[in-house]
Amino acid sequence: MRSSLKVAIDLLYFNRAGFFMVYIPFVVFTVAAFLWGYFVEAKYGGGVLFGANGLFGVELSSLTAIGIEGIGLLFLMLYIPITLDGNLKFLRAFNVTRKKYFTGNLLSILITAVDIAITLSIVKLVFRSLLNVHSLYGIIFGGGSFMGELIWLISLNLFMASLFYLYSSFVIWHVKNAAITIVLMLAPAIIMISAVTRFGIGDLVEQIAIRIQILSQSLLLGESALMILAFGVMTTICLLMAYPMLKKTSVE
Amino acid sequence: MNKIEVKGVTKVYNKKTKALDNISITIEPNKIYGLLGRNGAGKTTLLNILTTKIFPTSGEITIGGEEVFENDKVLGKIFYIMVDSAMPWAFHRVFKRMKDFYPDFDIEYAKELADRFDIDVSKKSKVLSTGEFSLFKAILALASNAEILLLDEPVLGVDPNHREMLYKEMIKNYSEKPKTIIVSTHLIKEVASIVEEVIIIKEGRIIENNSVDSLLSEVYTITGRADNVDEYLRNREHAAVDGIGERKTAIILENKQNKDISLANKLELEFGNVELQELCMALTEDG
Repeated sequence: MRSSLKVAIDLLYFNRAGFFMVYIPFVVFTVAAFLWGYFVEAKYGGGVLFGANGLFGVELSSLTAIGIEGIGLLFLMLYIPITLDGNLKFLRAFNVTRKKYFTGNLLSILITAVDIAITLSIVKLVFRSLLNVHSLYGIIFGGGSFMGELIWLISLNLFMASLFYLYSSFVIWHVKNAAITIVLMLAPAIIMISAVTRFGIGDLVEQIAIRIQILSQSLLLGESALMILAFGVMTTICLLMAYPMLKKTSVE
Repeated sequence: MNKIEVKGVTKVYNKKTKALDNISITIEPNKIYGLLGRNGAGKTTLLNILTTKIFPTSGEITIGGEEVFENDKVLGKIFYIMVDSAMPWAFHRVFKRMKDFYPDFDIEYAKELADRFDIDVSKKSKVLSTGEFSLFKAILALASNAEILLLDEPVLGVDPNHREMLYKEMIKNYSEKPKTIIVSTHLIKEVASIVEEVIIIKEGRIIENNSVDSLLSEVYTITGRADNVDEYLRNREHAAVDGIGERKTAIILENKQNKDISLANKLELEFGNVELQELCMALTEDG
């Protein structure tokens, strides 16, 4: 009998090269973004670029913070469809059931999401203590504790990872030819980049965070507990929807 | 036992292309089957459906009485060589990891075969020739110790020497550890000596499902002057007629015991045996 855990570990092991190929640029870009944030803070004091309303109407420090948040999500967005597509080899070569393929990918993706959240939190902690750029983070996170921020990022990344997993499953299920795959796979990246640079996905994230906070206060629950619960529910819904799609995927 | 039962399987692509048309067959365990047919006949589609790579439009498949879809116990008994399947790792890593997917995988045997077939297992699949890659997949199949081997064009791009070696190894492996082997190939002459049973598919339908011996005993050829051959063919079912000049050869679909020897003598016709490849070509030709 083939063990699900072994298959999952194999998928994880198989993905390591792809992971590092994206993870290293992620760390480099994250650090660069923080340095950029520090430069902006130091030079403009959290001001705006190009006129009273700033570049695209977004404050520079806010833009930087959103960008930093976006890098991790962008990484997940690139990594997850590539991983799912690459792992189809296991289905084809070793007669793995779709359930094992699903759980293997799930493990791999969730570990990656947590890993990114931890990396980002550590980088933030280091910069916060070394460079004293509190205001940069205060915009979104209100200068919360390291643990609070970590829980927030883990919850957010797990949810986003499951959303991308659902989306990638849909692409793999629906795809008819390579051209459509590429377009569909690039679509969220394009949307995300445009959102980050133009409208600021951070606004949406902030809105969600505020609503969760209000809800947690009304229910007399701890903020973190409710946040974990809310994201947990959303993550589970996405994953539960992803499996039926993979189950119907042909892998000729 | 791992009897494969295919019941009324139809596969329609894009709502119009019928790749398989209401196929029903029983594949007995521990026999070597040849799955033969022309390009696009539906051979690969059938193998893909057997391993749930794709889904039938209708019908069902059971192995050992169990549903195959999402059944890890059953799927783990099958090793399927797909023509274009890639390997996730360099080959030496595949050897190391195979046990996770096929717990009975014999790594020592695999290494020994790789050595004998001159396969450098440190290479990645991308840098191997088509023939080397085919051999590597065949090695994995033989060493997997899976109870059912589905081999789709297992010797694609392999040179004749290695093909011969592989067929011999396949027979040796089969005699030591009996298993169900289904070989789908166009190299019918080469596999004719190793297959026991033959399934011939034409345009998505099974037109023959029989043992090689019994199939070939049901046919014979006659050769002679064209008009005499035509005379002999009258009221006889025949599959193919081939002629050069005034001479003709025809494949008669009739048991050899029913030959009309006196008529053949009178018409100065010669009887002959039919090779599996000839018969397959005759049965699957257009028209």
